[in-house]
Amino acid sequence: MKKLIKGTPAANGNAEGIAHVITKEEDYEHFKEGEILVVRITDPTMTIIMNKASGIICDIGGIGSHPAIIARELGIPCIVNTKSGTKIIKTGTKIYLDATKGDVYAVD
Amino acid sequence: MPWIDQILDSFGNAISASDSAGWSPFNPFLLFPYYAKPWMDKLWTAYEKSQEKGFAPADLTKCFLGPLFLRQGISEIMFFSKICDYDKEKTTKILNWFNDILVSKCTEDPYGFNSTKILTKEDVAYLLKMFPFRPVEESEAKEAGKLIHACEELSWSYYFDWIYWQCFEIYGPYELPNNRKLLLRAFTDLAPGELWPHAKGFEPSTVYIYTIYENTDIKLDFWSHVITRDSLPQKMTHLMIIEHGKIFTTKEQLVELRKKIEIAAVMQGKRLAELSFEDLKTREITTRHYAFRDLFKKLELDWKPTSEILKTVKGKQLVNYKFPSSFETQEKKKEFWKKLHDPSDPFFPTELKNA
Repeated sequence: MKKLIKGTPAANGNAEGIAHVITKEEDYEHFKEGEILVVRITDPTMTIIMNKASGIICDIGGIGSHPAIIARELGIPCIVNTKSGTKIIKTGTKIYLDATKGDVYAVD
Repeated sequence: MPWIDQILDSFGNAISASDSAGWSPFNPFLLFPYYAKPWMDKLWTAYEKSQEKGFAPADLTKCFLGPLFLRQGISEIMFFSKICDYDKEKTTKILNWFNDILVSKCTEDPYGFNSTKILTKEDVAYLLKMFPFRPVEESEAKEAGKLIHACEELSWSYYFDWIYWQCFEIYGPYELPNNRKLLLRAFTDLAPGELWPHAKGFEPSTVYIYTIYENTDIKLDFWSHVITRDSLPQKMTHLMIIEHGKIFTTKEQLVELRKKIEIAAVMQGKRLAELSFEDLKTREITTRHYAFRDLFKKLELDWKPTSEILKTVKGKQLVNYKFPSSFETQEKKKEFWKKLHDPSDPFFPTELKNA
């Protein structure tokens, strides 16, 4: 597997799934159950898609930021502070998220 | 260690785990410089009134939902007072007053190093005896996690993610037998019609979510954030949900409520996102006043912001100060934020002084 990006581990665990990069609200309706949410940072308008996600990757944020808190409640892995996850990860890519180490890989 | 040093230490732990770049819809510290003086004056008036009326700190604990409110209130008072070089004697009296209320309400770990507790062991035993906690499988625990999430997002979108303390509190973790821990989540004002007219009459206006976990390292920080390395749904053993006074007995009730709150959170998030910058600034000040309304009402003060305080931000941009975005270590980040707030430390960027 090729490592795509590294960030700060915020909620432990692993997930493998299809990445879905969200940069505008128009992207929300296409988000599918079980996809891995890739965003700059989460906000309340993303409540429903976050509840569908199997993992969360954010460009910014710390281990005390909202996506981290929420991911722990949801029991899904989360990495924050990747700096450029939304640019490097492409929607539709199958990825493996190792939130214990903060690494994201492309799955061949 | 003096109490101020303790609370600064706990605050420093929490804020060093945060990222100011993520604060939304804007960094509130960059708005505070405009209205610090009139806000401190309002708090001083409140303090004087409480003394005049002879209210002891314990008489005022009910004006604050939980310790989080008081902790955050104290940290902000420190910051506001440094912005406007507020009279030191008055600042000390206000801070000590809030601290006295906090330690009246929360006798164990009042500054939130690991917990947010206001109940005694006997209270907890009574609660467990009287309320029908249901054992849950992981699938229902995950649904509970989604409901908790939706309630939090709705709170943040009504009150900004930095003034939600009178709507949302988490208490615990209370230690139970067999290596279990209890968290009590209270969402107490999900229909703030005075702030958002469309929210008047929204049901449920209150949701309580009580959860028991086993074999977990859960702690609560200064902001009552749940800190754990575990997946909470995997560790959840029991659950109780009370919606507007009604106790849930089935998973289906939980799912139905979750869907309702999710939609409300998304719609409210959109309303917040669509506000103009002028509206956001006014709303920030109004929401802060609203948070303290129970205190102001008890002291027979008008809780609503004056036109004078609202004018301080009219037409203004956020002050031009860039918070450091990276630090060599988390410890250095913690020290920066502590120094910024510490009333005894002269460090304070001139850009953040009275605007």
